[in-house]
Amino acid sequence: MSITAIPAELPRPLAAWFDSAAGWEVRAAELLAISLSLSTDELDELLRTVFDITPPDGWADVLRALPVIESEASGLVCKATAAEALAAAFHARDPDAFRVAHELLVDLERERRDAGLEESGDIWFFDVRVAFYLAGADPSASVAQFERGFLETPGDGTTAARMWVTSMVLRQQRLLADHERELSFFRGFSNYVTGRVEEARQDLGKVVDEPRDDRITAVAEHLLAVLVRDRDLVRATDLCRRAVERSEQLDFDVNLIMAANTLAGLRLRDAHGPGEAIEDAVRLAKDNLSRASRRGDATLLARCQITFARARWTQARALGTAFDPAALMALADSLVPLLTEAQQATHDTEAVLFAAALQAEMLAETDRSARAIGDLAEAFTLPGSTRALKRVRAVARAIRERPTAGPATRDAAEELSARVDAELVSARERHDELLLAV
Amino acid sequence: VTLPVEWWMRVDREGELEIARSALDAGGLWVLLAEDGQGGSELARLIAEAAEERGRTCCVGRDTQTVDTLRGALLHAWRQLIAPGPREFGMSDLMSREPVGLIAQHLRDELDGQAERAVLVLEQVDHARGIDGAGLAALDQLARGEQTVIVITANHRGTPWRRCDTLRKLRALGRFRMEHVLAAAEAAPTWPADADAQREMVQGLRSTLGQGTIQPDDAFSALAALA
Repeated sequence: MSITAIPAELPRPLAAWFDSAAGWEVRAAELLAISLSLSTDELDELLRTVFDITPPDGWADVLRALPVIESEASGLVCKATAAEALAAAFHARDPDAFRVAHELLVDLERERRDAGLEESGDIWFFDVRVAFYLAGADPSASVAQFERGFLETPGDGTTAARMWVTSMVLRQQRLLADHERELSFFRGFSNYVTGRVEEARQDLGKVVDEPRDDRITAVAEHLLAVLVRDRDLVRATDLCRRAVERSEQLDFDVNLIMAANTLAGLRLRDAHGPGEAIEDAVRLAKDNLSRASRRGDATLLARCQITFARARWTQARALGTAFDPAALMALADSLVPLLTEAQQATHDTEAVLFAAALQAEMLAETDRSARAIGDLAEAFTLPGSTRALKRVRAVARAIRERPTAGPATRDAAEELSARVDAELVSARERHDELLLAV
Repeated sequence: VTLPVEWWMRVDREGELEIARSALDAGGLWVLLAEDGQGGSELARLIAEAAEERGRTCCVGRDTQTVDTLRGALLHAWRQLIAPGPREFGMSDLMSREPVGLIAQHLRDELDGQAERAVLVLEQVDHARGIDGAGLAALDQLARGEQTVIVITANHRGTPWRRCDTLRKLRALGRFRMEHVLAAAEAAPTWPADADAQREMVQGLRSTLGQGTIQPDDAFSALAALA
């Protein structure tokens, strides 16, 4: 039987297990509930230090067989469905032990971080884990460290790293409840990435409505601009300009590049023929390209290359017959290698498909439709989002309709268009069939 | 490295296990959609047991502590094949810059070199976010040929699984019904022989788990308490 009364925080099934478990099992589960993961040696040490408990022989196997514990590569973890309630119960029952346990876990992570790690990515990783544990010992320091982790992700793959940080923040929401603005930001980011658009607008709107001269505000302004661009281009442009200016003031390079890239795209949307909007877009995209080149993030650079090429191409086409065909050909010849480089440098299949589609459009419009459709068909072997697939299909259809395209090119364009159609339509049917058949 | 199956894990999963047995014969990619609390890890253990009953090696990969949990699960599985033992933290594991496709290729090479066809079960691969195109392509690469890859997800909203060429079946894990929980309870070490005591135990379970369908994790906790 349990060594304490059943906490009110536990739902009934969990309370039933709690009541039936041995005291050391409950304490071990509580320690795992406040941890990310622990090896058996680490858990053994914590049981002794925090609770003065020496677990019995064979205890690790007993723990692995508990319904609230799971095993994985790095050791033992508490199930997500049990962790919040068990942690809350632990906190309510013994706040001092709860704080001491978090302080020990902070020390453990700092020891790991300092144990001869050479890569900056490792230091960043452990700093975020430290922030997780600080939530139970010093919530203000935790929030500040989480923010740094979010804003200073190492290397490529910024979105994945930011989502990981965000998932850690949201797991500590209860302990960070006094930091509502920061929690709104992280909730908003999570909703943004997972496509919960309305929730993201609301959460990020709370951050933007209380602007501060900090990097979190700059990120929120940029993301909110993306979320409102289809319904309110003026507001989106205003938000994006603010994000760019704020990022410049704060020397927040990565957000400056992302926001300026979005702003260039918004200016292109606003362009109706030659004029200030297009010139603005080209200038922004050009400046941004040189910034991104210095940063060393292949995906970010690829996206900036695509925007720059699109802006220059749109600028030239907007001039219509005023633009010399030979000059258009020369422009295409200068931009196509840029787009090819973008496709080769990034693992982001979405960026690859958009770059390939733009490249095909340029080649086709400079009377090289056969090469255009060949290159595009080759890029289409990659998986992509519905949005990217529709873009590929639109370009293929445009090539098919070009009067200068030969029969073989038209056939190839027709075939590619049909392949994309089949992918878009049958994929949905296949999905439904697979999901419902069993 | 197979974790033991406990008696309380055997609740209403025959449909999924039948799919797993089919997967052993057919190869390809099989996806079981499970959110938190839906018994994904218990099912992984049951699948590993079923595979081993058929004489197949089963390797379960799972690592939710990494930034990219698909990469973490693949590396976990790969490490078990080449050097079983606890993971050490380090850059190569946590933030490896090797493309996920290359890790899948390493893993496939190891699996191809096994004396018997192995089964790979990957858990919680989309723990923090949906899997992107590169991740799906890596799973496709792994599941081509005779390999069997069974993925048990963490979050089934964000990943376009239908984009995988090798995908054989998707199935969402459901909640349990009370009769299935009660059937499992009869295997409890403390299940009484006396009819009155049985009725009392059943009433206790009904009281704990309430009306309607039951979240698998709730059922597991309530059943384990009987032991």
